[in-house]
Amino acid sequence: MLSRVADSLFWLSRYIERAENTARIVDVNLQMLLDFQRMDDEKIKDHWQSLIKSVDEEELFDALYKKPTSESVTEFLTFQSENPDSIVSSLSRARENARMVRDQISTEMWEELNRMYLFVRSKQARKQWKSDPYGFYKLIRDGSHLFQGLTDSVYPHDEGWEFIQLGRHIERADKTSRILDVKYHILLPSVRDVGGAVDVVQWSAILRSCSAQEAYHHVYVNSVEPWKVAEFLILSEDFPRSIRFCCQRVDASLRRISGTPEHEFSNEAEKCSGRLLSNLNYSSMDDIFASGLHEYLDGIQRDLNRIGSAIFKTYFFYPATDLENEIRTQQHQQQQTRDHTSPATS
Amino acid sequence: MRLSVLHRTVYTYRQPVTDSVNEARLRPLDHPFQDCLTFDLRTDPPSTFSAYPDFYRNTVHVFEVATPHRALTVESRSLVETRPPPLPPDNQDFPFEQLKKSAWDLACYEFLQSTELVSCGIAAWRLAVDLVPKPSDVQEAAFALMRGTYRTFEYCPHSTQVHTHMDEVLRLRRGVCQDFAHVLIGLSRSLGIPARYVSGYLFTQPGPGALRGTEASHAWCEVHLPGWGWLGLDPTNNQVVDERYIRVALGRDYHDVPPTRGTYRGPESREMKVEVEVRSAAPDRNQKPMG
Amino acid sequence: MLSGRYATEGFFDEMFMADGQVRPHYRRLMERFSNLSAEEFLQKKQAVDASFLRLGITFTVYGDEEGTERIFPFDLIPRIIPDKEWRLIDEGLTQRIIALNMFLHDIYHDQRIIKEGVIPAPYILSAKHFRREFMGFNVPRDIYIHICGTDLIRDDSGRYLVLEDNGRCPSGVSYVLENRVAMKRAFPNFFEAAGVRPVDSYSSDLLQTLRHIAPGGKEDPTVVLLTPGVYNSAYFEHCFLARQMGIEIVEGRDLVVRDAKVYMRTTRGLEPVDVIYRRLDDDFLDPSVFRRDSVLGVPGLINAYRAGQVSLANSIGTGVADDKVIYYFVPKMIKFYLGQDPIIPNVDTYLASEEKDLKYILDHLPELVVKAANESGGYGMLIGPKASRSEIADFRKKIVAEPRNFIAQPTISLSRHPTLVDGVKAEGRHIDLRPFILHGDKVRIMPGGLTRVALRKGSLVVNSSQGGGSKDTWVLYGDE
Repeated sequence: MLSRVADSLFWLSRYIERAENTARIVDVNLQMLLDFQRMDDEKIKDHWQSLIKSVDEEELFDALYKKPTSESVTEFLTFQSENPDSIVSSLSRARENARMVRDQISTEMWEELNRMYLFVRSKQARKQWKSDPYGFYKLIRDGSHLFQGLTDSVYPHDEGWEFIQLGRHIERADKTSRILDVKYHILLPSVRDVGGAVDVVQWSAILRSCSAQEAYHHVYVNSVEPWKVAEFLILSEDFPRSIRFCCQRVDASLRRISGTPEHEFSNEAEKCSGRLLSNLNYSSMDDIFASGLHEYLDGIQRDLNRIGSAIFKTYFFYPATDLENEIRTQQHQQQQTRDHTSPATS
Repeated sequence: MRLSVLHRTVYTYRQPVTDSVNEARLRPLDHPFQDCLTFDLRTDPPSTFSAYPDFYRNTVHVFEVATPHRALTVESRSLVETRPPPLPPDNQDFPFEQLKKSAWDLACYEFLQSTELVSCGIAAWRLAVDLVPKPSDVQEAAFALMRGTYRTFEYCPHSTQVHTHMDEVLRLRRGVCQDFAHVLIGLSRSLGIPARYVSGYLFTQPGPGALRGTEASHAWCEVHLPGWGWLGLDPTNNQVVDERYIRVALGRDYHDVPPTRGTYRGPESREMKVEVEVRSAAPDRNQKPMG
Repeated sequence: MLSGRYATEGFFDEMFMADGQVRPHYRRLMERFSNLSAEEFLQKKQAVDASFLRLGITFTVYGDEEGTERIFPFDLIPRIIPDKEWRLIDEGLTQRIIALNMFLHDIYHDQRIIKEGVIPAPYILSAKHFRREFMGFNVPRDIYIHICGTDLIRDDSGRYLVLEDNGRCPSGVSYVLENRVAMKRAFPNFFEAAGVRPVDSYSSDLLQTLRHIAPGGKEDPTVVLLTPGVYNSAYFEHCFLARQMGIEIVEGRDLVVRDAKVYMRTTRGLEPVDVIYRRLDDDFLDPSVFRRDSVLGVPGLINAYRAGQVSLANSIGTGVADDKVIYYFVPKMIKFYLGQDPIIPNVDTYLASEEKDLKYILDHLPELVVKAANESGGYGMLIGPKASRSEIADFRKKIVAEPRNFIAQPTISLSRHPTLVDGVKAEGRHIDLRPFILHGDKVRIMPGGLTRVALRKGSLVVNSSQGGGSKDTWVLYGDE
């Protein structure tokens, strides 16, 4: 398969997953505000500040908005085209990538993506976002699910499909780790607060942003405990949004692409992913908390980045370059070196 | 005259570049008054060459350097035997009326048109008729245009670019040999005299009386005298081309014959150094290796 | 719908004779259509339109930032060509493509046709697409134009004439194939009864043509289609053909050249490419040789081509034959190279660069059609009888300034064909025909072609960018 096509499929899928995750995060944070009583402005500000931090866009946000409010932050994460990770930006990029491989994907996939893209850029989208944000973010999530469902059911499960899976699962693992990491920050000041009312709300919210509440309660019947939530989202073997689950998928896709058997590797990407997976397979929550949850999650994000760039080097090595700015004309000028020529006779 | 030529071009880049694909027109032509005895072309990083004759029968070498590199050297060495080109007999007239036939001639037609860097439009024509108010003999007119170009324009290194159009030179009134050649070509064509561009080398003894255009590749032009043929004129030095001139490539203007040309992938910032050495290589004397 | 109200209005009508009688080769269609109610017909039309839109059988309209995609309007009444006419077309086009190939070979080699005074040198040397770089180059199997789209028209007596040749990257064949699919869906079971020759072998014929020119006669060559990319107006067609042939569709950035060999970048590393069906004009193919600013091309591709390591279809420099001034000389070429008279004549043409012709053109502008020598798609054209005074004055200036760039032809009243307007009414509209000619191991002409129709009443311009539509073209096994 052409590298350019594989590259576009990978990013197409990654951007859609990104849009979905951003929608989840914003939605849950909005809902959380409802759960809190007596939030003063300062608290609200803190609440949103942490969200901006989770996407590493504090500077950009400060340049564009006066202060973090529910409206400004959700606008920033949803519609702001300057923000490369906003839902609108993610969907635009997903569509751009889909256009590049329009001949490779099915009409249904293209139409669904195109519909989402046209919707988020419409006036109607803004209107709905104002009047019914939950409904709005649900539409984004549903769109992504429909797209993924279509991909599974109409796209041939060949090499291209594996690249789509890779993009989706790397992105998802990364986002789950970020969601956990942010809340970890909030909860950090006092470990003794663990088990308090605020805490339960916060950790429930995390589960909700990963659509994991029901699944969690299947496993842990009773209470929502930070320890268990973290364990569930990091180490669950079968919950599809857990980091471990996603890494299993990444590893499996990489192996199917190259045909390398398990426990071996044929390139850097497989080496990184194999390592990360066995780390997850052989970790317990005790180890994780002992090394520090934040540090642990940070390490996972770094590993995921490493896998991403190794995939790039292995399979897409020639990037979709901007030839216009890259190809230079080389021409040799006559008389270029005549600096020291003595004056000519007449 | 036996002459040896070393022509070295070095490009250096700030960052490594890749996929460099280039054409070189560096091999001296073979024709009745010039034999290219030996020719050696090398690059560093090394590459393999393929060669083809272009539309004007110039030899074009093509080479690519795909792997990342920070510098590219293109070096040619040639040994050439030149003989004095014949001149039209003193008593022969070339009346202007005979030019009409050239206009439809396969060999002349395109050397009468405006081309990428040369225009034979109104500006050129005005200057041409100033210099030759009543054209009657083609050869006389061509000489007058050469003299006029030499006197009107200031020879001034670095005053122009490789892509400077002749019209711009007409405004600036100065330039390098490439521009002098373009001007004389434009003026000639504006009067209906076919004129073509020649790139090559000029041999001269250093010291007082040295000619212009000897330390790099040189350029001049050839005009077509009806019924006789092409006559080389060097407007930069105001003289008829003789055995000290080595012809490398000819075309409609510079664009047809750049010594090297190509593209690469990478950042724009780049430096270029060109070195040309033309030496007498008397066949009976042991020549020290050059470079 | 095709009842007595239909009027030929003095034009040559493809379906009806002047006395209102149906021509024999349209009789079966007439019978079938008479059995349909207006509602049924409308329903079929809507179904066909909807399927075109859904499938994305569209072209991009330039000058629109978002790249608006529109469907190429399709008319449900097919154009029918009887066998005896088709045989003439087939022979005429075969003769023409052979002569054009000999001409291209000649001007890039010995230039006999110039030296023997048939075509004056300046016309070749000043042709915009004459590629000096390929002088003396031997193209694979000596074929220059592998895929040609030659536009034919019929005049008021029904005589077929050649309007222009497209020997660079002719497009439109995907519409021919899709139109046929749509018609079959709309009128199942009718095709066999009507004795219509199939067109579906085009893709495999094209692939065979492309494989024929593989370097060194390679047995199982890798063929790719090189597209300018998704923003090109014919991108749909590129995808369509690539998919039909089962070959990779690539952009310039997917290809690299190493040691004068062409490779595509795949997830398994570099894979060699042998034949490139390029839908990219010469100018953009290789920035190291042609346009420096081309971002669509492949640096080094031309060197690889010259080295015989990769084959291109069509070859480089075929655009000379598209030049409308050179078109004027095609009948002379046929005579010169083949010693034959052209089977399908040209439209009478005047060259503005010939003094006598120029005078005639300038004196008769309001009657003539003036065309720029190197434009297509209905651009750069003056239709004298329909032009305003200022348009004519404007063109007069342009012609005088650049006579080499213009030709003129008498205004031909193109043949007309019943065409649906406002849903159910049939009216005569002007049409042309672009058959597709493949020149590989032999010359193959798809029995059919793109019939374009000027949907605006009275209009003579059939181009899609200027309000044209298309019809399915039926070539019959017999004459009825």
